[in-house]
Amino acid sequence: MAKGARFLDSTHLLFEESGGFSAIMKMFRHDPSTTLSSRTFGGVQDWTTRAPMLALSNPDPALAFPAGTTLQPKVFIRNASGKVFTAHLRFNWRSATTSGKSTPLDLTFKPNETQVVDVASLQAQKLLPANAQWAAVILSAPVLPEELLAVAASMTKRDAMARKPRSAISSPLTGRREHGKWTARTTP
Amino acid sequence: MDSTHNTLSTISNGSNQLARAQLTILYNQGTQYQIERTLAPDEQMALDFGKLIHNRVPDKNGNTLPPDLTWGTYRLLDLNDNPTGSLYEGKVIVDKTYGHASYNCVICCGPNNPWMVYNPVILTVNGSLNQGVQAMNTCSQRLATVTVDFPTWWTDNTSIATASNKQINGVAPGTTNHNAQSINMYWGPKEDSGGGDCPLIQEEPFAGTEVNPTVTFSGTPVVPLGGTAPITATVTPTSNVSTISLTLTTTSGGGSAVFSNGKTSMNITSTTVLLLTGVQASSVPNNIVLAASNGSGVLASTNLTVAATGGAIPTNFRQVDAYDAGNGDLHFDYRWDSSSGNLADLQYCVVAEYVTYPDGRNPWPLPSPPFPPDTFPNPTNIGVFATLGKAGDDHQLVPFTTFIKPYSNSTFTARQNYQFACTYYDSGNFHTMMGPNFIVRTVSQYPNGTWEFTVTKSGAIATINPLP
Repeated sequence: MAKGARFLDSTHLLFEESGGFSAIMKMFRHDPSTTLSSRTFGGVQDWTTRAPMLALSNPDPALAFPAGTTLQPKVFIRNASGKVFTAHLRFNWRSATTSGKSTPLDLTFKPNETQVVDVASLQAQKLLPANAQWAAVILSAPVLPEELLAVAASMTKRDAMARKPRSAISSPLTGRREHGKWTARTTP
Repeated sequence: MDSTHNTLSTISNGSNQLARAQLTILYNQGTQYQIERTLAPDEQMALDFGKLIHNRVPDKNGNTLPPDLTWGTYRLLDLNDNPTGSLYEGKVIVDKTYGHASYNCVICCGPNNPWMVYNPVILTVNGSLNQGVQAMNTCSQRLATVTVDFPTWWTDNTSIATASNKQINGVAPGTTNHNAQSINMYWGPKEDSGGGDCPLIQEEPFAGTEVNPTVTFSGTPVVPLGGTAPITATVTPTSNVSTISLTLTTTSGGGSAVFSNGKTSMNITSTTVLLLTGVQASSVPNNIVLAASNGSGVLASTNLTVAATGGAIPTNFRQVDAYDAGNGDLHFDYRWDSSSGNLADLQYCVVAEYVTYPDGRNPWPLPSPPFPPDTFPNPTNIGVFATLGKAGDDHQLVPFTTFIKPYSNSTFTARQNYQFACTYYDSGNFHTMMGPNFIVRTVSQYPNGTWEFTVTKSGAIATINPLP
């Protein structure tokens, strides 16, 4: 890497031949010169990242999993700084008939620590209802942009992964402004 | 969308204030299906596109999506037009054919590379202009006026120009830049927000400012052939040191005049009484132009005629005073000279005003109420002996001065020329020395409910505030 270059770009591919599964893994950009004011949207003061659609243990029938399928929702959180701080994790959940908000979780991070939050166990502990199907994951901390990184993912159990149909949903958490358009073609 | 495909989407408000989200589904080459909803902070709206189609859910306009619709695009707008953004979106696209779901995010759109509408801004001393900022929206490629996103304005040299918000004000002749700074908002190309980008920045566009001195010429419409006539070039500010070029040019036909230096050009920096000499008679009336200019262009001009006058004529008609004389009276004082240098030589001349009102009614009734029930001769033609060399003019309400209730917003404009006539020149016809001037009388209401009367002309004003 040339001296003075500010970015190193990379791509991370994951594949499992036996199960016929592959994915492009989320990579994060971390520019230490990025200021918090350049990423504080809508009056929100802390560095905040969001995953708007994390599929919970009890999948939405619209996802068309085989009957009885249970998902394993997890949130992978990494402290990409040398700081010690407390992050706040909360869930805005919804089921087929209702919605609600969880009590925030305080997560203390050591320098460069990675933690995995098992959302299914949080459902089992009734922090989120067992019948909740989706959650918006909101993670915030008093740090600079990209010093706290997260990926939310929900997958079937391994035995379910080994056979079709299967699904993996990964949700990059981003603080951002949405004001525009996106195009999607949903036919094969 | 069909039996094996579906799209689930959520739109959330990530700000700490109410947001108004508009989702537009575009299909079949431009047909629109729109959903609007107000979202509280942290509130999320969930959409199942398959259900919208198959359950025939009407949109805000009562439209439904075709049952055989399988694909389309959509657009998400924050209707509050909050430049720092409030909404975030996510979606899952499900394909049951082989068992696959994918996750995606929208892209960020916004204005990009803002620029000042006027560059440079050209002003006169004490003049002002409202600047604006525009930019192209990176997704729609449409021009957007984004001036409201720039709360901070300044100039590089306040002794030349100042900025009062977006209003740029001329202070003294010279050049400087004016600048504006936006709020912290997303500026940039359309960008995949899934990458965590779309950063907020404060843009600072700038533009040049040129402040010129003002030049006004007094009224000398006729220069005697073989004789001389004074005309005053009034320069503002009095401290001006920049060079102003004066030229005499013939625009059509024959005719010419020169300055006291015997030439058709000269330079000044401050108010100067110019002495013009008629050299050749104009073949066409008003075909000689006296112009003042600098590097920015022409600052002022006036048209002249060189003619054999048969005697002295009024020249150098000029305003020397203007003030609010009270009770709605806007008072002016004027002076003029004789082309011979001796006012007594104007004994066969008159100087008069000629005023017309908005339509042909004579007398012309003021709109009453709210104005007093006065009437003005239309036209009003009042003259004085030219030998006086001066006259006052009161723009007042006569004979009645009491405004009539109920008050209402009302205004009318009279058009005024000052002119002269001499029995021995042009068969005694009148010739305009100054004008048209516009006398504007207005009754208007303040936000606090009180009413005001104003009368304005030539930048001067008289008021009755508040009206009783």
